[in-house]
Amino acid sequence: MGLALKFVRYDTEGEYAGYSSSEPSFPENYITVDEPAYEKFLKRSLPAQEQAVLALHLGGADEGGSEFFSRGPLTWSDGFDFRGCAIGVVPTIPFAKVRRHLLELLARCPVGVWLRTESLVEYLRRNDPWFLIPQVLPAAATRYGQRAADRYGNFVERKRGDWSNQTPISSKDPEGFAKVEGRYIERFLEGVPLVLGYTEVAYLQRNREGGLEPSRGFVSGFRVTERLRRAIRNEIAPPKVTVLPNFEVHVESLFYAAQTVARLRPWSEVVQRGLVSVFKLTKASVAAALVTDPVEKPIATLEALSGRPLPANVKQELNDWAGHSGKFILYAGFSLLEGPRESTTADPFVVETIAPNLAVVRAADRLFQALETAGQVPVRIRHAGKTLAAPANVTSCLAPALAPRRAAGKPALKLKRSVQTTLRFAAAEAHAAFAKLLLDAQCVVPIDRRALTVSYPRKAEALVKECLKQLAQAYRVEVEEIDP
Amino acid sequence: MPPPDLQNPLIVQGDHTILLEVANPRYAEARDALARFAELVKSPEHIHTYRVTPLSIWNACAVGETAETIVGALQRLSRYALPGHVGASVRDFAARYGCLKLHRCDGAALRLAARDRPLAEELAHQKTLAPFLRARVSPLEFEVAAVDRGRLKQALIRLGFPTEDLAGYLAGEEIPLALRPVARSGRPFAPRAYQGEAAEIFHAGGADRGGSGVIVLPCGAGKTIVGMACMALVRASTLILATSVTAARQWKTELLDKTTLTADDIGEYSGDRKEVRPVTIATYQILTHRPGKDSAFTHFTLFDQRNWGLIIYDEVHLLPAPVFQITASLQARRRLGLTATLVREDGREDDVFALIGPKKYDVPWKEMEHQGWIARAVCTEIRLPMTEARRLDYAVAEARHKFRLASENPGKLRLVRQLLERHRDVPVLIIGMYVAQVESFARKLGLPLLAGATNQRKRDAVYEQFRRGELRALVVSKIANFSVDLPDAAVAIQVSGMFGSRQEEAQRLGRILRPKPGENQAHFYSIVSRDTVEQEFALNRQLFLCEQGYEYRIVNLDGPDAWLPEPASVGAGLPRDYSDASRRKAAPTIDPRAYTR
Repeated sequence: MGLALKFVRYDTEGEYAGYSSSEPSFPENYITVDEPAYEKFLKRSLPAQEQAVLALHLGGADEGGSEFFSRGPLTWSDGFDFRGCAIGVVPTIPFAKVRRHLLELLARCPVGVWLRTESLVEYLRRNDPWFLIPQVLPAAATRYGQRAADRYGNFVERKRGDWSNQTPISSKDPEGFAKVEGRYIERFLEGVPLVLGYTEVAYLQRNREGGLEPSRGFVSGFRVTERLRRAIRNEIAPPKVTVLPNFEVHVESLFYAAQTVARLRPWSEVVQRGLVSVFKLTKASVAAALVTDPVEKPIATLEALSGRPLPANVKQELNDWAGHSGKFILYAGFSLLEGPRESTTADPFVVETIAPNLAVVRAADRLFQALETAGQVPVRIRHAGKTLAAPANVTSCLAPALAPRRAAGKPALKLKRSVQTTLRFAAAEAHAAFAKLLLDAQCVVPIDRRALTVSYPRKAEALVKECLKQLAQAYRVEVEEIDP
Repeated sequence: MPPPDLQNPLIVQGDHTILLEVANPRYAEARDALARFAELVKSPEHIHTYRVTPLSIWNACAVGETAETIVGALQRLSRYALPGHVGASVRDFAARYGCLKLHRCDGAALRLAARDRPLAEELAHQKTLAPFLRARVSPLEFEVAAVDRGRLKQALIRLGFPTEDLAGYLAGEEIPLALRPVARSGRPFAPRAYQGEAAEIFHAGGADRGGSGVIVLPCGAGKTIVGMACMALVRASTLILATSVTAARQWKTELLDKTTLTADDIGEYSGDRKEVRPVTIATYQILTHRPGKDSAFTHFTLFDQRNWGLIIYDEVHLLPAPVFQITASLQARRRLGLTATLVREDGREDDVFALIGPKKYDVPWKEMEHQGWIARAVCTEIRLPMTEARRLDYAVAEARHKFRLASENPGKLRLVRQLLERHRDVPVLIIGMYVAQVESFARKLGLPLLAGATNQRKRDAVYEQFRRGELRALVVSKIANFSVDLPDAAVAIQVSGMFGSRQEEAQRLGRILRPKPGENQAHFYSIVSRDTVEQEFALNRQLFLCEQGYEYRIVNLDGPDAWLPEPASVGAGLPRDYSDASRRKAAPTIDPRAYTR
């Protein structure tokens, strides 16, 4: 369907290494998705989408792919022998028209009621015997250059497994209609309408020993669904959307509500699929979706889809979650400019100043040229995808230096060591005062208010000492080493 | 089969879930039908979700439903055609109920009878059943020792075969027990219609088909009274298993008040006392006590110390695993489970079915709320920003300390004062998780505190004062979660809590669901620190409460010093005392005497 509706296309590059080769053939197989084509489809109304899908299924198969000879994705019945089917009556049968005709007939059946397949065949035999093969065969129905003489000339049956004895079905056979059109009806029922959810079928217990090929009477019953009635009458209602206070969004639709699902999907997780598809709005999804598409407003969209105000708690949370979306910005495709900015040359390129000597900049190439022109001798550093790099001739850089190459030999074992000093306080008051001094000095170290401890790494030692000095103004501070 | 009708209220999904549209004119009819054979999964506003499971179908079959009535109800009420495989599953599940019957033959032994030969052969070849099936007495029957009655049913249900237990019960020691038409407190007393109906269904006129099962009623619906009504029907010595000493004493108080039993007839079997009398109330804790990890349970002898005619399991969804073990050997006694939910955190619902019995009675709580038997509850989450200094502390705190730092936000005290002032005419519970926090609140608000360390005598005294209305507010730690019957609490303010367990939330809310005079309105506030991990946890609780069908409001305060907005902006349906806004312009003050008469 994706290919037929032009949502995707695929191609192969590489060399076909042959059917029996163990080498992979076409190693460069690929599929591309045509987003604009899919978007265009999504913008169509639900009835229009369904009609497009229906039309595709009705007319998609050529003669060789008709229900007589080929099996659909859900077909259990076997087919007629396809040899010779390119000549005679079969190529002249307008299958798309036949299928639509049958669907219209089925749409008149009561919904949800099981009916016997043979009763449908009998109805057609009595009331519409030429629905498949016309009474007068068309001139185009030829066999080996001559006009086809027998309407059933393409069809043979045989005892199961007995390939040597095939019995042609004759138009003079009183059971000819049941044998050919009847078999077609069975296969049709488990073809297009079953795939589209327009029918359900019931099978006889599969027991083909001594039976005939192709099977007959295997699809013993069927019932039509509400979907069929609505699709044929073009009475497809828009999906009914309900937003619940537990952040679930229920989408009730007999037909796949692609447009609604596509709008909900970025904000939610799928909980359940069925006549009612259930989506759950999540904080992470909403915040992430708003970054990608800040124009789409979840509250307004959900209210428009459901046609009523959202539950108050959901509205409140969505507002909150939306507030989370602007807290972090990911710059992709930008560059970092490092070093003192002594002139204003770089200013037009700066997007965000991170620190006095570090900024996020756009259009790195043009900036580089501008800096060169201004005589500032810039150095370009290209970082790898996962690590920062530094060229050897740069002595000062915020990026970590490259690790020296090591000679190959024993496997490397890298250990990391950190030394932490812990100050243990005896009194909560002094601990709290010290914690405040540390925070005032913007010294962020682990402070445990329950254990009355402050732990700090060596690099924070200077700041901690400074704070201890300040603490000494209010307390007589003595530090006792408790480890030997 | 009726054709599907797009105006119908049910949508049956292929995965056996059933969605019920609340606004549909046929909602009540569908809800009542579903209550018989499906489990309610969640009931948020607009659409309720049910699920059909083997247990739900067996529970239905146990009260006389058949596959055809169930499928018929689904077809009659479904908006779309019933998926064929769902109907087939229902028929399959239902066909299993009644395939196996356990009955008593001459002598002490029991017989397990299979419906047909293939099933009997399947049982005979099951290794897990071999220890319990002593001899094959006929092609369809096996002899079973009476002592294995429970364990056999447990093993069978794990194989997917519920057993219809028709082996009958021991009569137990007869006691003269009746319900009083006028309670000792002087108030007229009669069980409500649904309470009497539940007891009658359980008892089934004394037939073997009755006498064991679970009655599901929402918190505040008077399960204790149902238990007493069952006792009055059975009229035999009764062992009541409760979740705590407080709950046990409340049972005793209720029994003394509403039945003809005297104090001498009722014994308490707990850590404090070991009285075994015609009606004995024991706690799960004492029953599951044992000196060492591998020692025997010392107090299991209680089950043999009297010829009990009825065992009542209060809050059966909390039944500890060892009590299941002993219950397996008590199948000859009548067993009544009382609970607000069949959902167990440990997933042992099938053991409840096999050992206590099938669900016998279930009233949707919305219906009870509609009829005024329980109060209408509104849940309000108040989000209070922390001060700048505390936010900095929070930012640098280790992850494991962040929750506590947010929970103990000192600004919450100010809001509690404001809420106490708003609800100054009704009893209020203040519930917290951290002892230091609730101690501080109790001290600063001048209110009594009940925590784990409070001895039982003081607890009972304070509860009694609260019940009598002499205390208007009470600070409690999480001890108040289970089975604490506080009949007059109309407002609960939760200042900290992990919001972890669904049962815990339900129990906490249950504390305020008893019917209230006037508008029959209860309020459940939780105060959380905004933009913290506490708010994240609160989201779980919000989901749970919404799925239970409670109205959930969120009030976002602008700053750490902001006051609660005027009631009109909080939402409609609040008590009248909300409208008196003038007092809230200034910081409210609490006079502790106002809460202690």
